[in-house]
Amino acid sequence: MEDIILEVKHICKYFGNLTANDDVSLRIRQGTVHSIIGENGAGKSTLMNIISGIYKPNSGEIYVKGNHVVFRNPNDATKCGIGMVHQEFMLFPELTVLENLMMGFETKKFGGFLNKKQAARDIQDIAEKYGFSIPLDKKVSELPVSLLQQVEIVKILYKGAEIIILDEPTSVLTPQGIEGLFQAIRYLTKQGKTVILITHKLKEVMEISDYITVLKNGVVTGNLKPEETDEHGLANLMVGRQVLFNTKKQEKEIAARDIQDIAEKYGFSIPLDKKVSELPVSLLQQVEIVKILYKGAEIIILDEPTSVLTPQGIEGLFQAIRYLTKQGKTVILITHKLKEVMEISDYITVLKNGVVTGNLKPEETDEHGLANLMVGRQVLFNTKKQEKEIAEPILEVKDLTALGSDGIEKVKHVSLSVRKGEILGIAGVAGSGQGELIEAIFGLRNPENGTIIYKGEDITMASPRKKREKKIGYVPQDRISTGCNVHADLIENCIMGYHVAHKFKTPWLINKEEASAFTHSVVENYQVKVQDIHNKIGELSGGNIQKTIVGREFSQNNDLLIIEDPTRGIDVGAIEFIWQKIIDVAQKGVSVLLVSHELGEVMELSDRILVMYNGEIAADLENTPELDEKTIGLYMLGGKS
Amino acid sequence: MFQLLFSISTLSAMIRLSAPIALAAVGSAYGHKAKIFNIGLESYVLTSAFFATWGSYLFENAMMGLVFGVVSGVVMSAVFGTFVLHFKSDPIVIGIAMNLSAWGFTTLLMYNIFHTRGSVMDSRIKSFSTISIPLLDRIPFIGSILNNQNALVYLAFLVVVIAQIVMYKTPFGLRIRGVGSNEEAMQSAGVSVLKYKWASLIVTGVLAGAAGTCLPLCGISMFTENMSAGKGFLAVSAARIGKGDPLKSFLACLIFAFADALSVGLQGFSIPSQLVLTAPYIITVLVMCLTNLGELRKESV
Amino acid sequence: MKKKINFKISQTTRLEILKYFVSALLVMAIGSVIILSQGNSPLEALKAMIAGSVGSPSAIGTTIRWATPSIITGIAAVVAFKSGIWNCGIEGQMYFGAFAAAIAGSAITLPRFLHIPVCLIIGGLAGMAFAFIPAILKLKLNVNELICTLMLNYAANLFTEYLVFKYMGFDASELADAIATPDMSQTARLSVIIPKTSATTAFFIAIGIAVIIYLLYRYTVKGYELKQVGENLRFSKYGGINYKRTFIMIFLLSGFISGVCGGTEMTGAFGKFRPAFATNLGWDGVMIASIAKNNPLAVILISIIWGMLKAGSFQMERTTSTNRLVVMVLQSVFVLLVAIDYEALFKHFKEKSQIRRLRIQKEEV
Repeated sequence: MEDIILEVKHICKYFGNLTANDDVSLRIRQGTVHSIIGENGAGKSTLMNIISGIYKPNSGEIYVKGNHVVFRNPNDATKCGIGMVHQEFMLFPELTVLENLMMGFETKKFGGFLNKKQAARDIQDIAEKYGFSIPLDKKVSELPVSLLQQVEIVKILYKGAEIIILDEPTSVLTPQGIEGLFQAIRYLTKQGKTVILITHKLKEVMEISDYITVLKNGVVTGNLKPEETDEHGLANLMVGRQVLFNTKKQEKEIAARDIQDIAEKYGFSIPLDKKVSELPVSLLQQVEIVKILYKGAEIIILDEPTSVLTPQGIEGLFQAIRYLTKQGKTVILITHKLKEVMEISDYITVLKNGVVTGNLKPEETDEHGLANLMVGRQVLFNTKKQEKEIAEPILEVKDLTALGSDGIEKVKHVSLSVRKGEILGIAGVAGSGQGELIEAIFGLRNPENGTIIYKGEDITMASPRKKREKKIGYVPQDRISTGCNVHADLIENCIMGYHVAHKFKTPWLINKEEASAFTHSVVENYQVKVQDIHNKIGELSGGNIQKTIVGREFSQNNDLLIIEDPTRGIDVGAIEFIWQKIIDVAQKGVSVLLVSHELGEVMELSDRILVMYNGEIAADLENTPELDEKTIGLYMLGGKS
Repeated sequence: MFQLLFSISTLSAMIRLSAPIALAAVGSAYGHKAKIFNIGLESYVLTSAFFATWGSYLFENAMMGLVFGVVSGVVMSAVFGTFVLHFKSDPIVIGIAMNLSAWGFTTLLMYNIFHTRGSVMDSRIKSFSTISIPLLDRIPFIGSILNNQNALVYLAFLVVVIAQIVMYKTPFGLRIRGVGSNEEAMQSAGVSVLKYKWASLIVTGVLAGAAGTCLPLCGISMFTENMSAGKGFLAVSAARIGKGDPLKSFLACLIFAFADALSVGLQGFSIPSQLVLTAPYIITVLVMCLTNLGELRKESV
Repeated sequence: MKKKINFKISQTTRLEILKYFVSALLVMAIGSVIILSQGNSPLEALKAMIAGSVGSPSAIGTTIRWATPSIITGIAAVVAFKSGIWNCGIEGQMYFGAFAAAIAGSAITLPRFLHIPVCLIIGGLAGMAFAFIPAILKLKLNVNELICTLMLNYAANLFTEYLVFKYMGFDASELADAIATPDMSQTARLSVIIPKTSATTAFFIAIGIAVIIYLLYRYTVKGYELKQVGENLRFSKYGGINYKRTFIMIFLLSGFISGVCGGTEMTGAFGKFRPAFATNLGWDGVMIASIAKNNPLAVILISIIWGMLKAGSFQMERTTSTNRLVVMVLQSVFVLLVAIDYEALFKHFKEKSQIRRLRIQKEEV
């Protein structure tokens, strides 16, 4: 019934020393939604680019409907019915929608001329069949993002795609837009099309997928169905904080009976004759525990065991732990989840920066107390939601209007104010004018109208240089083209802006010592992984570049920080780090204007949230716990006003 | 003097002089649409002007001159394409180097083949002849401007029209425009970017070769050192002004040619010849300024 | 760890040197073919080249004479290119600088220690003024500076010729040879360093300019800003660099240096302004800058080689009747070869072989 339409076997792909895909095998069944998930850099996009013929694998095979194929170019893949919607849309902004759809797949009439009429008719038919409606005569540059996505999908359907690969399709969409997309996906699969969804958003994966494959560092770490797991389980497979037991090597031969005995003794039940890959995560954990018991362990160390488990699984694990201790075994539990610690522990040791900061019993303390010991100061559990004293505004924008690069009004009479020590978040669908607003405030774009008042001074037309001198810092969205110079070394990148705002001892000579001292401080305080500060910044990973930029802007004693998409496309660890830094500076009284296309980020960090829609402020909301994504999503679409 | 501006002889000269620039500009327009900044066009024109002279001299036949010119234009384009598309060199550096070597190369060859310096004049070099179009001569003013022009001039007009149609009405044109608009999208559409960049270069080479042929074989039947004298650069700027649209580029060419024609006409007056000769270059700069007036308001930060 | 990095750098430098070496060999091979085609012996030509460039004091003088303008125009090009501005109008700016310097040298009477600097500065300012046109058009109207300066080169050549006519009161019937500004006074002439040649102290001025520009990039805040503007304009704007001022400054500086080059040509070798005197000197600068990869010190080295080639080419033409344009063709071929991105080329081949391997694999299956 569910035939395997696409199968890849042992795909390996290297970029220089980097292994993007290592022995990846995959089976995709017809008429299903198959999600490929993984962190950034896990090799999802590489794999898809191989399947769609853009990259050539170093080794490995691809089978479509059982036939071995080798794609020399994307055309070959298209002929096999594979079409891909890329994260960055593959459209031609200067051409019309119709021309875009025809590209590479032209309908000709007599004499070799383009037959636009025929093509338009065919496309309308397909669009109607699958419930899309797109204007064919408009230029692509004039359309909103959600429509562009539809254009992309129609394009590959028009080319006869059977397998549709969607690469991070939801990143550009509002919650409502995502729902629309999911409906379309369901409709497509009902019509027998196969959809491969690449994403790192777990909620969506759980909602839409029939099958899930998890990639990590180029290796498949899991093949599951959504009902077999939950978001935590997936996260664990993605991030790979594998449950590390204190056993080094697996014994090859296992005496089944002994194991069975042990398992029974401690209340586990594991199927011995099944392949490990077929077991759910919670069972795997039991296997691991049984394994070390079988080796005669008296002390069992569990390293973050709960991160892979569902609440039920955790409950089961805790029961097992209690049972083990009753049998006289000793369990050392490593975790950062305070609730669980309080629930299961007899004794608690707190470590911070390699030093023991506390030895307690659960009854002597509470979660806040533990957190305190862990972090070394009062931890901000709900800092963000805490009431802050209302300070005087440091930045006031009044009636600001600015044009986009295309000369169209992108910011329309926006007024806002940022108070001292406040994090003001701006949410909105990409292209709602946030970028232009920020550029206008920082002086990279001249406002048409309106005033910007900073510390009581009119700085509407001041250049970025003036603004830097007045202690305004800016973390731009596009770190590669705006935030740094990839051809220059770390020092040159770090002193940019610093050389304006702080000046060197002699105003026209660069003080090399001062420059490298500042660079070192950025590298150390912001944990930039670099061998030598004379290395080119372009050689660093995205996360490290971002940390350098954030470090540079945050280390200059700025009073106002404008931050745009600070965590776009970087790994989880770096995200947490940067978030923490933002919270830290705000605690110190620095005002932050945060623009992010990740709604979650804005909600996590902000004291107050403005929602931009179509160049205007659609809502001004206090970030209270009651505020939910749906409400903001509605504002983002201009639904409520 | 005002009468001179729009006299039949000036306008007729404009049409005549527009032919080489127009051919090269249409070629350059294809390069422009495919996002290849080809400053080496000047060298195409110069080289093919020389080879056209040679071809015509060898066979005593203007048509063979055209063949030689076009082939040499394509060869020059192939050199440019090899360096820029395959060796990943900076197109501007390559263009400049090609322009300089073309000057030396043609002068050297002129010396090697014709054993002269400065210029080649020989009775064996045959130009294209003028064509009289039957009904056109009946139309009073326009007839005398357009009629009795050189065959290559009519060829240039034809090329402009064909180029316009090919650019907007055929899959080939669509793909050329696509290559310039978004290379990655092109790749994912299964169209070879390289192939179409090459195709646009070949078109540029053929047309620039024809443009080069116009210079010696449009009546004067001689080749002089550095004969192109910036015609290729004019063509590149015309294509830029027209934003790669063949027809608009052609209109820009007409303006340049008009300035050129004026400088011929004005030499009879008391205006110093040097100043008059600067007219085409100054006007090119002015037209570039005028077409970019919109930028004045847009504060591009 | 550090050692490893050092090793890596030295390896890339070694590859770079290899690349230049191979290019030079290729150029010599091509040169031999061209010279053979002219019916001459490449070996003889080479001998003549060497004799003409370093074979005698006067040969060395000629080499220095031609290396001098190459260094200055090379630096003018480096200043512009390093900041991502295609100022190809060096030649035109040079014409204006030379004309102004020649007039200043003949019309003003000043003591020697003042006269030469005044001539050079006036020349520089004239070049700068001419460079201001494309600069302001680019800034205000976004007119492509490359095409604009190319056009203005032609205009500058013709216009300075017109100025000479106007200034001297010639009419059009005058012989081409006679068209020139008056001789500059001796107080405005640089001293000759090798007797009976045109090698003058201009050479030291040229090296001085190159070193100053090198120091500018290496140690000053302004130099840092100029480099950043060239490498990433958006980043520079964002970092608070006043790019408009920087942009104009680069153009004017490049124009000023070009003008100074006109000035040194006048105060040095020529002594009076002739129309179209600078056959391709500006373009030499562009070629040298691109070979030197915008490194001011490398410009000096390449320029000396350039001077040797030029000096040698005259001798070659005299003794072997090989046209000296051969050298110009070879110079530009060298530019072409050095412009090749070998790394990209290598990658391309690797990918090709990969596809081939995959296909073979498929056939085996």
